[in-house]
Amino acid sequence: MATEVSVAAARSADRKLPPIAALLLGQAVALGFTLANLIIPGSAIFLSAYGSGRLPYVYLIVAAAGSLVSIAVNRLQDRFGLHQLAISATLAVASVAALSWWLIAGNDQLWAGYIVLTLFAIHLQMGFVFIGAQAGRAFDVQQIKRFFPRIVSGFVFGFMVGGFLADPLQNTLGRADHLLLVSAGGAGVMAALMLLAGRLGSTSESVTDAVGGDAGLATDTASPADATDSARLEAARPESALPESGAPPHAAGADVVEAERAPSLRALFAIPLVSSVFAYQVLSAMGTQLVDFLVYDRAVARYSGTEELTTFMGSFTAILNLTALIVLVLFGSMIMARYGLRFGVGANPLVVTGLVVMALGASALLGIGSTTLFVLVAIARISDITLADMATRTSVNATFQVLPPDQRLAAQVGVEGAGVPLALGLTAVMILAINALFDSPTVPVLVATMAVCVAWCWLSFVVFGRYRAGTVLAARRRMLDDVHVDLAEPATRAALVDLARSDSADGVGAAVDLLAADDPGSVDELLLAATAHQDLAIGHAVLHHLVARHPTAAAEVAVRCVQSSRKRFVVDGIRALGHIDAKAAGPHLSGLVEHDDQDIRTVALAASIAMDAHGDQTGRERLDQLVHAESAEARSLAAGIIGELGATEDVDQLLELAVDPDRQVRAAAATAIGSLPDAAQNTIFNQLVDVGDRRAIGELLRQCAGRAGPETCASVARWLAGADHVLAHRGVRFLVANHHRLASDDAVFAAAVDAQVARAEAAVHWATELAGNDLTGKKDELDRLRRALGAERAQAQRHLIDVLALAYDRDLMARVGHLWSDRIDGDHGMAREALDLTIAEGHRASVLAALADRSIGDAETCSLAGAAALARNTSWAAEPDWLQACAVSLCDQSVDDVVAAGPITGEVLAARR
Amino acid sequence: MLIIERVVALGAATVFAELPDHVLARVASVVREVTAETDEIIIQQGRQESWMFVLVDGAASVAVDGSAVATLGPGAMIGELAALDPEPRSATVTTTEPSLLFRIDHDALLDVMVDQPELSQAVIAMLVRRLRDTNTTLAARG
Repeated sequence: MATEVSVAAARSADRKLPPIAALLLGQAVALGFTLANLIIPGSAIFLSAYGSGRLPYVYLIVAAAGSLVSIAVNRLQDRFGLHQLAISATLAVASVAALSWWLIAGNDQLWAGYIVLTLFAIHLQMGFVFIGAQAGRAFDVQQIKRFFPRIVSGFVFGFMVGGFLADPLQNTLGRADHLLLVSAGGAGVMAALMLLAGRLGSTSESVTDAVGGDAGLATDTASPADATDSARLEAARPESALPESGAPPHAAGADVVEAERAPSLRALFAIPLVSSVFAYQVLSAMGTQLVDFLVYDRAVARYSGTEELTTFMGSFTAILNLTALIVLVLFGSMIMARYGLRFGVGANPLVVTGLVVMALGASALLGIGSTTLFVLVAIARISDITLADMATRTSVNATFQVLPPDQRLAAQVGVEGAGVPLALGLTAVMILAINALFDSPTVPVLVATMAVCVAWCWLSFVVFGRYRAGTVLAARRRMLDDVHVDLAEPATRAALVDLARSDSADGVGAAVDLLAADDPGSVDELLLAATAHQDLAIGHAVLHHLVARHPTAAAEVAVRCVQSSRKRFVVDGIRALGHIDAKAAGPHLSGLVEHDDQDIRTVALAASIAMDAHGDQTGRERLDQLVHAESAEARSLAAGIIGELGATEDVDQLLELAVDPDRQVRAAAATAIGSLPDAAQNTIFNQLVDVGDRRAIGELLRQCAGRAGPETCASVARWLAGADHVLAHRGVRFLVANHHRLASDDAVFAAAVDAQVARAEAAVHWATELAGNDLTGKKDELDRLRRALGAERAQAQRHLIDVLALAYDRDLMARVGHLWSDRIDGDHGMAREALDLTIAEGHRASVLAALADRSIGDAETCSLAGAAALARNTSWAAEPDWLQACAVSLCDQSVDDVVAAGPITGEVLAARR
Repeated sequence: MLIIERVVALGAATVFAELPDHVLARVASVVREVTAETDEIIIQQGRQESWMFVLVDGAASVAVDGSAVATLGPGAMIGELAALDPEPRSATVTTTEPSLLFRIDHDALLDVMVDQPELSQAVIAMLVRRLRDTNTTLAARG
């Protein structure tokens, strides 16, 4: 019942938009409405004044202006901040729309149509940048995924309403160009909503935040971006191929730290998948643009005058958006789930090519003025937008998922940032050339469109093939990179099945691992095929799956492995036999328990101990004998055997070996503990803490890095705020290595941050307390104490950055750590800047204060009272107790009664007594 | 000597000169003080040992196969290769005056190196310097 209530509450919370999201939704509606009221009258005025022949110039202007605006926003955002820039830019759009209205309606300056069409393209691009950036600032990744699709749906709604209202408004206002004033009003409303959102939101803003609030966001924005793409059902406009709405935050290039690591465009385009997707995108944008041109061209031929064109554009825009939305909602998920990427990249070019061929046929048979031709190009346009929103954009984004993370984002940004302006430019040049060569551009443009679409179709096959190749690479690289292998995608699954049937042992292992992780039953046929393969490496690669699903076949392969000359095969073969049936391993173990190789010997002994195959001794007696042997080598062997057996009842013996005086034995025990189940590991960790053996704990933290489960990690996380800073720091490293994450509002994380902040602040505080001049003549001792305070503070700062990596993006924090370690003032500034933009407001101020560059002081005299107070302070790191020892050695006998925090201080005090 | 005094002495050794005091304090806590009279052999060529010395006070001479190759003064490291990777000693070291040395055993050194990455970096830097010197010497010999 409680669960039902909480689920219901969560759903209710999901449905409810927070105020900031509501304001962003309002902005999106205003953006859609504004843009509809720009493009509908703008294109009508332009086409009635100049016809479609001048459209290529608009394309060129848009390509250039779009790039310039991106650069300008990138530079200005640092100076003005997000909200000021967004509001100013949106008000500028309103002003330019109003100015265009004045020029056109008041002064008959129809050339202002160029301004309107260009303004439409730029506002579309930047509007989404600003909305996306505000969302990036206001929400975390999960919230973005929850709210952003709804915010973007507001844009579709606004655009559709604008389309439906265009004709009635035109009739009410008397002229189509008055819609530009409506557009200016819409932009004004959007700016007002931005102002409200700014007041409601946080204080420090930057477009950069959209990328790197949590640097994980930089990658994760791909999802809301997809949603944005899907919802951006832009209608009849030449600019529909502008950079994707999700891309601008990245395209703005504001993430300085990220940009440092981004591969160059040349390096990216050397990747076959990226170059083919780039070519695909260019041809896709060109196809879209050419079909768009044909719609305009035929509309101009059929409708005369601004009012008629406005009526057509309004209706066409509304129908286009409505159709795309209905198809997307009703069929999008179903078709994509069933046909996947093959459909996603292939359907759009094939359908558009088919319609263009039919249109070309109609033009030949019925003439270019025929209604059939007009309807066919309009359907081609609607199909293009619908399929692009339903499948193409999502699929193209999905292809990048098989790239390593550092290439993925750069490829998306590079392909879209460079591809779309290039496509606009090429289309413009192509149409201008056609206009120069032919009296009527319609048929030549149809032919050119067909040629582009045929090439686009061909590239869809190339992209699909390279995606499959990329999937194979990603499967093999899965342990190295954070690569997403989408098994719900039919193309991915097909590529993996092919790989699992290949002659590459590594490939077979990788493919079967991935497929079995998704559905163990789906690999049965592949496993049996691998068993029958003449190459033993293939059977070995899937041996652990065979053990789990087909023990008989596994035993055959395992015996062949044991008889092999390859150590890895022998070890895995013995293990497999032990898992299937320990008795079956017996005949194969006799010679191996004395094997020269310690690993083989350990595995064989573990198997024989498990079988109780030691003559008069039971397996446990034999193990106990090894645990307590005089020889360190035997004890190491015992630790290895316990790890191999993986039995939780051996915890006590492992604990004993973990605190062994011999470091090799300790290391072997720590390794063995690393292979135990999470609960057993956790027990040993906690018992070691109780024992208080810091050396053993340190060893264990190192050996279990990357191999501990959530229970152990949760225990270790609780040490982070403890007084033992050395142990706390090792704990941080351990948690990072185990990919353990803490929420930025988690109490454990907050306590760990506070502990390091307090430590850094304490060092500065004590340096201040030392100010004075009643303790002189001990320059060396004072220098040593100040150095110790400086080192304490530097350590606390470095540890603080490490702690932050538990809640924020690890790569980003690693780079911040490198900048911090460089000990260059400028780099420290960059590190602080990155943290300022990344970490949550709750602890931003305290972290930045702790990382401020402040002097520890270098006076030759100090205050006796300050030094004595420091000597009496036992809250410093217990190991080593260097700071306290330095303070005590500086002071006179008046501090001889202090409590020594550790051996160094104790020694100083004892010597003085 | 107190640990705090050993830290000062260790700080005089080239390899430790750049290390922060609290790291030296960890090293100082694992060293053993050894005194040697004049002409006392502290390292014998060919012997398998796994410790190193820091010459705190005094002087020593180094001989390979009976031929003197170097003299050492306070702050010198002696036999550090064996402490890092136990192998037979490659030279004989004899004190030339009463000396005080810190002995650091292989296990203790590795423990501190694992705990204190700064020490590992210092040791690597020392080895790299030595490799460069060797290269330079070999190049000079043609």
